[in-house]
Amino acid sequence: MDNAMMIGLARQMTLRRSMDIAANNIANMSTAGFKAEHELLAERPMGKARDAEGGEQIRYVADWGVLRDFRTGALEHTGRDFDLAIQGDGFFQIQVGDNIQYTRDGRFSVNAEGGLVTSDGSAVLDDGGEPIIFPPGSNQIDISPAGSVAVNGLELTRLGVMTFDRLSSLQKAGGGRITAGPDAGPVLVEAPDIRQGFYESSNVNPVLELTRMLEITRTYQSVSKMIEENSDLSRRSIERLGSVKG
Amino acid sequence: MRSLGIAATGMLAQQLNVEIISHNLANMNTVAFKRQRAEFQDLLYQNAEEMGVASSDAGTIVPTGVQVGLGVKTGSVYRITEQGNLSQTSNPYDLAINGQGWFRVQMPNGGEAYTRAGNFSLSGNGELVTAEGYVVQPGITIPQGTESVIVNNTGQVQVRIAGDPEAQTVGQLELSNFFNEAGLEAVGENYFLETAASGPATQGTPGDEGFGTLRQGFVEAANVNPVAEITALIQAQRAYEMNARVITASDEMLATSSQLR
Repeated sequence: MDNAMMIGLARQMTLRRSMDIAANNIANMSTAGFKAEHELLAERPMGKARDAEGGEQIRYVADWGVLRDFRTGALEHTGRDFDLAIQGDGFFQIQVGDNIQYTRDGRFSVNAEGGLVTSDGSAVLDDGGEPIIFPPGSNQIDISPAGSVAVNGLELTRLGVMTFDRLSSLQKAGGGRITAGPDAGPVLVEAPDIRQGFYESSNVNPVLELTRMLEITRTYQSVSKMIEENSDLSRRSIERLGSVKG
Repeated sequence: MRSLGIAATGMLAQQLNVEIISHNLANMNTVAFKRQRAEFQDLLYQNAEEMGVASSDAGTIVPTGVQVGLGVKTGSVYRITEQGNLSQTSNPYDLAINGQGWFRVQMPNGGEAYTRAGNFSLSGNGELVTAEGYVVQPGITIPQGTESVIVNNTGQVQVRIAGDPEAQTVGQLELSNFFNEAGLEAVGENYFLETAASGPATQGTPGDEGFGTLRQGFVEAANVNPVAEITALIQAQRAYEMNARVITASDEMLATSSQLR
């Protein structure tokens, strides 16, 4: 009889995590380049409920992964020269310490040395993996859809936009940054579609998240109800068995 | 339940967003005000489970290990130094910069500050000063008996004195430029200070390569777009409400568990 309770608890644990993920999506509704996530669940077959009678197998539920929705978020127009958005596939390459990380948050700026940097000061890299430095007196900065960076009408370099063979081995590092696992297989995007003067907003769909959240709460409540009824059943059987007079 | 804390970070972020928007709207009519924008980033992630990395590469959705994000944080509050509209005042001491550049001002504490607010006037001894009475650098003194003052596009200041048919040049205004204007530190009253992030100032004459030109009789309006700000305000308010809903829903879940008999 306890099995039903344990299965119920397993479901509640996954529901709590689903709630955490939904809360994170909603909290990041205004985070540029943010990719929404959803939980993946799977059956966890365990032992048999009652060996003697060849009874049913118990199946718990567990979360085994997170679905990351890599679809492009809505592009927001700003008209700022250093706001860049990638339409479709690809990530900007940035230098964080000694490592290369990736981001879709293209709200860049220029530091005191003229280098193109992210909002936390990490250098944005070109297609050769070198930082992009604008020479003094750069007034007119044009970035073509293919990623070529032109200063005062002369081509300076080309933005390094990368994609991956295996998007599944990407990990989020916080701060809008993404790290690639050893088997991710970064590939340079030959023909990216970059929009200057736009940034990519979060691809979280608030209505969807809100309905998911309601669903999570209600499911949690009904599982609770199930656990409660199960416990009632145990209580009643103990009372009834205990009252038998010998 | 991490979701309670996560939603709290979301509410804090939207609160800051509303604060920035209200500051922008409050300064809609401030001369040469530059609007700000709050930039948010996702907070760190916790790897709840790293197992089960599937190899599905097709499509837009790819499974990964269970990584639970812990909310949102403010990355930076960025100042957008886009040119504001020039509005005509016909006051000879109102100077607007059309293009890049900042006026350099001597602060009362001896330091130097930079401003784009060109609503200048004259001090008691004829010096060109800002609205607060701080001297514009390099100092320009308008002699007594001046009938009219002409500031041309390249910053040359000429005066016409009563009885003298020839205009006299009394000074040359300069502009300062920075690599990263967004890195300047705002100290209020439209003044900004040089920082390590902005880089050192480079001086130049209006109209030089990389410097804007001057317009006499105009002031630069704030670059706040009220419609865009109001839209952003509505979005921020709705996002705040949604985060509050997450807290309610999480609370309901906790209550269900604690009411179990």
